[in-house]
Amino acid sequence: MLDFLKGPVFAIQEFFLLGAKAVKNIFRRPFYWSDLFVQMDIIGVGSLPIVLLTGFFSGAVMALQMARALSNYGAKEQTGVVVAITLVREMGPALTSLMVAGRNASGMASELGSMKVTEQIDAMRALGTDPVQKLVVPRMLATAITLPLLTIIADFVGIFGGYLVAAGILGLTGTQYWTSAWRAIEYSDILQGLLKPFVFAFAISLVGCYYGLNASGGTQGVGRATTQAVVMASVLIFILTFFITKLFVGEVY
Amino acid sequence: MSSDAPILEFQQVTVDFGDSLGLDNVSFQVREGDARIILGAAGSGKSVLLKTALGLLRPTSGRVRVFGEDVTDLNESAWFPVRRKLGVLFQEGGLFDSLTIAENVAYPLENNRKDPLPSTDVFQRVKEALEFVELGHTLDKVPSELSGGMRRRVGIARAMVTKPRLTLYDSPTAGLDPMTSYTIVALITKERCVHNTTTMIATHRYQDGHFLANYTYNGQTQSIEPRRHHGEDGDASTRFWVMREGRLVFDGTQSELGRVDDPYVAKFMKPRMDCNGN
Ligand SMILES: Nc1ncnc2c1ncn2[C@@H]1O[C@H](COP(=O)(O)OP(=O)(O)OP(=O)(O)O)[C@@H](O)[C@H]1O
Ligand SMILES: [Mg+2]
Repeated sequence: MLDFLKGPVFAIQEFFLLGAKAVKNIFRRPFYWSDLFVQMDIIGVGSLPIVLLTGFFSGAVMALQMARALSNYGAKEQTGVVVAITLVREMGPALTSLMVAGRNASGMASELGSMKVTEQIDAMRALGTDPVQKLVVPRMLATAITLPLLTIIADFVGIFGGYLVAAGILGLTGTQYWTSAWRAIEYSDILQGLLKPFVFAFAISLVGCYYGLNASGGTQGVGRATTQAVVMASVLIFILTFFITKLFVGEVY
Repeated sequence: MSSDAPILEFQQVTVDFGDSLGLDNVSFQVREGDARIILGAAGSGKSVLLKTALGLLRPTSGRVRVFGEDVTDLNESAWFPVRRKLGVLFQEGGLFDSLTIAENVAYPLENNRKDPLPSTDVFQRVKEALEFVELGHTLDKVPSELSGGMRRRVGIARAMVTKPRLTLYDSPTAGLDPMTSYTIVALITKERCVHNTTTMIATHRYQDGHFLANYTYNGQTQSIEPRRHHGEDGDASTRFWVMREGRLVFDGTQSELGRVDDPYVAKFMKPRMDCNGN
């Protein structure tokens, strides 16, 4: 009767086994440094333009929206506060991670998936290389290192985008905006804002690698793996962000 | 180890994929110098058999012995030294498309961290292997720049560069035209005769087996020539297997294969009547 659950349960178990193996392998030799740097370049530097764009415009849009709502209470000067807090706590991590999920979870799934269906993964194992060590560990670490950094950049350009709107359109002064924004952010906000991308990084990279390594059925299978990886990574980001937020909000109240 | 001990042995090996059986109670022994032609329809389990011999798939039950060592319960890292003694050509090629041809062929040598070769020796071996498959001029190309048949030959070079005692070829001629197929089988025959490699070939094509059983490489004239027959079986060390739905349904010499009535088995004897060209 519960047969239909067998597939998903098995997949979740396999996913966690892959995660455990990848984490354990971080401390194993050989460590593929050059693969790590290549992946950091692809994920970090490669995502920079899109992260700058989305970060900037989300800050700008937020300033527009918030200023309108706040002016109802005569609190337009508080725009900087709201933009900064929302970006650092929530929007920066979530948007950046979603962008990286779209770019890199799919990239990993399709790259590893093609390697799987052309038997390069089998060849690797046959020729004495552990695919988890060579492929998964560098991708996981590269994402875990670069995603928090990308988030910081997105937060900053977002707040800057908000400032341009506040100063250019809403007529606030720079001091009003920046000092209120700066004062509003607490250490727990920064902690929360960096913990999220760090956790999401593991979800994104492991999901991408998992779907890639389990691709089957030729080119079509690679396409399927890629789509599933992006969807699954994005959904996981939303679920995880809820729980991490809950953790921090629960602490405050 | 005495030379009689089987180089590869399966004892009642079953590989269960849950929804289907990849191998169904397969038993056999392969000895040093033997050749095995594994015939069978698509999906009959040829690739699964070869991958099980390499430890890439795990038997659900039964025992596997490689070079006399029981490898059934080895974990992944314990498999590495065993696999190092085997050569393999994958059905889909398995060439690393981010590496050049020379790097691909060097991979099994350089990846051996236990006793690494000096890099000049590696280069020499790589060159030799590529010249053996007549691709000495492609060292710095990448796989996507080569034709399908050339990639297959690079795969053969990579399989033989470590001078393995047992080499597994998965569908080496699949998807190639008859001339290129001939080149590939001739190379495999040459490799078998020159290095006395134990050889297992999975294939759809009966002609591949026929060639391997009846032709030999003459080192003096450097050419392929018909084997001198010791009776109607030709070379008794070359045996044919037929697989069907994961089972080994025929095991015998070429002439025994010719006398079988079973329509599924006999099908592989009449290649020209198969409109798929298989
Ligand atoms: N990793 C796997 N997971 C699940 N099923 C598999 C797996 N590998 C193979 N199979 C199944 O096992 C059966 C045998 O497959 P195999 O690849 O050995 O066939 P084959 O004889 O090599 O066919 P072909 O001539 O097309 O290469 C097929 O039904 C296949 O779907
Ligand atoms: Mg096959």
